[in-house]
Amino acid sequence: MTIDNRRHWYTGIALLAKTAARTFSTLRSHRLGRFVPFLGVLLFGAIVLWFINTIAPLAPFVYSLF
Amino acid sequence: MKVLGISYGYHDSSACLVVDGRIVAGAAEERFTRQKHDPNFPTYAIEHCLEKARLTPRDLDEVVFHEDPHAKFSRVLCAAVAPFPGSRKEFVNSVKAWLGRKLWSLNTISKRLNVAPDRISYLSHHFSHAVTGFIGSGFDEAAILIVDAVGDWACSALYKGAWVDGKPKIDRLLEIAYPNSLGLVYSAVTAYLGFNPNDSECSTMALAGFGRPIFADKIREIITKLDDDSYEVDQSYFSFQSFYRGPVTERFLKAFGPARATNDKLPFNCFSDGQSNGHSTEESISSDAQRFADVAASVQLVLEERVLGLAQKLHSMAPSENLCFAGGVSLNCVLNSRLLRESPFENIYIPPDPGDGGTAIGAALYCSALGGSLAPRSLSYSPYLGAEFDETSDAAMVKHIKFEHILGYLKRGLTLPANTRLTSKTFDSDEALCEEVSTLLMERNIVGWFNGRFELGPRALGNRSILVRPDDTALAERLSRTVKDRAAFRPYAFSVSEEDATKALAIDPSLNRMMRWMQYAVPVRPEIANQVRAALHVDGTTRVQVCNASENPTYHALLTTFGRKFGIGTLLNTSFNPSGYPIVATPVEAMAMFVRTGMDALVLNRTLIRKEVG
Amino acid sequence: MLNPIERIKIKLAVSLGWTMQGKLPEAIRNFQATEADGVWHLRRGMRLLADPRQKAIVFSHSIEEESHADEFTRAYHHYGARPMQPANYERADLYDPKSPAWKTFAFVHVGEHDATERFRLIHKELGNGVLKESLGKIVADEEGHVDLTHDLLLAMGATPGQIKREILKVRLKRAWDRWLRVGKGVVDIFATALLSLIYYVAGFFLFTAARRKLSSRFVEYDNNHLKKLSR
Repeated sequence: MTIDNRRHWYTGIALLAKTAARTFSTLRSHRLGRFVPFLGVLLFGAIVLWFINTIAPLAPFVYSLF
Repeated sequence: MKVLGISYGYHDSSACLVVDGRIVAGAAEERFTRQKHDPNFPTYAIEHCLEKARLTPRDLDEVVFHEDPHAKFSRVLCAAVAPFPGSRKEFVNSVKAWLGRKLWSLNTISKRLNVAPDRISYLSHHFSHAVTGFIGSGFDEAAILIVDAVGDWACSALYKGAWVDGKPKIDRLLEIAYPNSLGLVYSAVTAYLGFNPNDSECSTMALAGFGRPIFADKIREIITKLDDDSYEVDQSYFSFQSFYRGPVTERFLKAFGPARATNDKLPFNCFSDGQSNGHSTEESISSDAQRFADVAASVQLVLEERVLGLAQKLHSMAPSENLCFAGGVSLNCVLNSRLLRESPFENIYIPPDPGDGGTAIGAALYCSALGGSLAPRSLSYSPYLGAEFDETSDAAMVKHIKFEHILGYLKRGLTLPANTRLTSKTFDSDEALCEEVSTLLMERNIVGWFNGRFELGPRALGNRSILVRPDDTALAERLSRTVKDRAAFRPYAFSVSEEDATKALAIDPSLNRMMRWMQYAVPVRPEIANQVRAALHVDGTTRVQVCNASENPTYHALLTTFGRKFGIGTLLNTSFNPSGYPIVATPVEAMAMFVRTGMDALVLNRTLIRKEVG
Repeated sequence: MLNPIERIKIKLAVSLGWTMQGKLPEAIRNFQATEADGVWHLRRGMRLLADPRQKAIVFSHSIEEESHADEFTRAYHHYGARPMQPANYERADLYDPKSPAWKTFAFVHVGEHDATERFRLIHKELGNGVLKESLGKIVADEEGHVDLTHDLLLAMGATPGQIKREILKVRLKRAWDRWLRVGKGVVDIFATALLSLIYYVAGFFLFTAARRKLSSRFVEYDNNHLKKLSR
């Protein structure tokens, strides 16, 4: 199997997705399958918070529009 | 093959580079960032490793991370939810830390090093300890015991290791799961005793020397030995998930009394002469202080019993003469000595940094070995893997330092004459340097010794050490008071040249080869006890370093030269670090500690700097 | 000069915030970390200096900062019942090593100036005690540092114009970092609220499974092999 030596623009996103998937499968391996949907909710929350965090510096400007 | 091992995330971040089966460099991040137990991405440690080999991250074939973040997070999540509904705060903090950062460690590594993910591997935490313990031991085969606070899911783990077709084969025999953790129990008791957990377990071990194990039966009920020689921890006494807020419960406090506040005095003194139990009568021991010592002694005793039990179990599952022991608990030198005396194993190997900082080495070596570039059984390594510095340009500033400006900023309580100045002298040879330094040591000076590459691991082994003659307890007390800020109940230790080890140590001489790295508390021969009394604990033992010329020629030369004057080649050796900070790495840090404290002389490689009056 | 919001925050912290258990030691720990940080940057900056005289000046300065950090450690132990945890935020060089050395010291200069202002106000607001005593000493020293650092920058070859521009850049960066911290603080409140809600809702259904898992003494799944995420 050839090893891809480069980091691409999508590498980060791909890795994050693979990490999430690997964590789900780890939970199953450790007989914690019930936690999988729970982790899904947490990850969704993390994405929401990440988005809010990204725009947080702009919050006063956004607020001033209303 | 170029493999970089990385450990970071919880405490003691480190990095290690192995090129074609040889360790090129390794260091803990804290040495560079000056933050004790720095848990962050080891930027500077990695930089040091790559610089040493003149590589860039792009040149790396493989990067190996020391734990499985997915498995660890599954355990963290489980542990945070289990105490529902009383663990909201811990759950929130854990999830923030993990989903904010820690779970994405592999991506962080890829991003920070600009290395493709295909080049990044990882091991489970205890397996990292296992490979660190086995590879480098020199054993063809061995039983491997890992006792730690907690890794991914495991707290204690048993393996067997062997070299098969030129590759290391390490098989898991048993993993004892969280929360049954001997390491966490010991750390919880450390916190209860008012010390910093994950940092000052050595204080608990030292305090145990003054206690009586009157609570041992109670602790045995808490850490129950089971029929299969394993153990179980009664969780109703502990609150591991809220460790820094309060790791013991009301039930524990009811059983053992109120916890110690960090300012409560512990008036035990290693240096007192001929008092019962080594207590000093200069200051009377309160009942609380004695209680704390007794708790320490009790938990120490039961820890030893449980680990011995694990060793017995391991031997039954993997009969071998050889034991590799690693994990944070293997820093407990009193325990290690007991293992040496009483376990069924003839030979014990403990790596120079058996804690989390050492897992970067194991990870890198293992990956190298699987890649086929490691000569089996031939790799053993010394701890001197850190950075070295040319002191010339820093020493050149000595004559420009206006010491009168520094006098107002000395360590609190220390005064020096107003006309103190610094002088420096560079020697042409190690012989001349050692001769002069030996004379200074004989004259009861406190000498900072900074030489070569700094050590990997928590022990100062003659490259970043503070040295004094080991017979003078008043001098050792001055060292504690004016230099190290060290509590009187914490003993010092000594280094001895290999040639004089048999003269000094009351152990079978065949064991001297295991005493290289201050990992065992051993008794000394009665006939020399007076000569080393400042480096003994109250029970007459010391945590010894036997120094041989091949591993550290300069330090060995100093010991030998001093030994000719003193009668035996031993020096009280304590780590070169100000209280609360990591061991010094650079000449500037060494100089800063030297000028601010009661040290009399500083050796930077071949340059000697002294404080002189007039 | 501290802005009015900073002044109000400090006054509130001293009069209200620090009366809460554990808050004063935590604040002192942060002061200690600030001073220790200054020491670290000064000593990192020293690597870039060739002139031993300049090195000696910076070295002495770093000694003073280190003594201030120790002073705060002492104050911490006076007020705190627990031992002081080491700081654990990530340290990084302020500038690329190829940048002129004086830029690092300019950054430190601004940090010193701001710290002095803050400590001066805190010292004024505090009642008598160990912390006030420590701060008194430190404020007196820090006032000297501000001038010392500026002179040092000139000696390193920076022109007054360059210094002024760099200081402005540093101030803007620090102001931006402060703004980001405020933003992160707001997000943190959201995060805490959201996670608390998830905890109480989902935790109710999961805690028995978690307890069952933690009651098993041994790890069943053998995870002891080299893995890659990409496979």
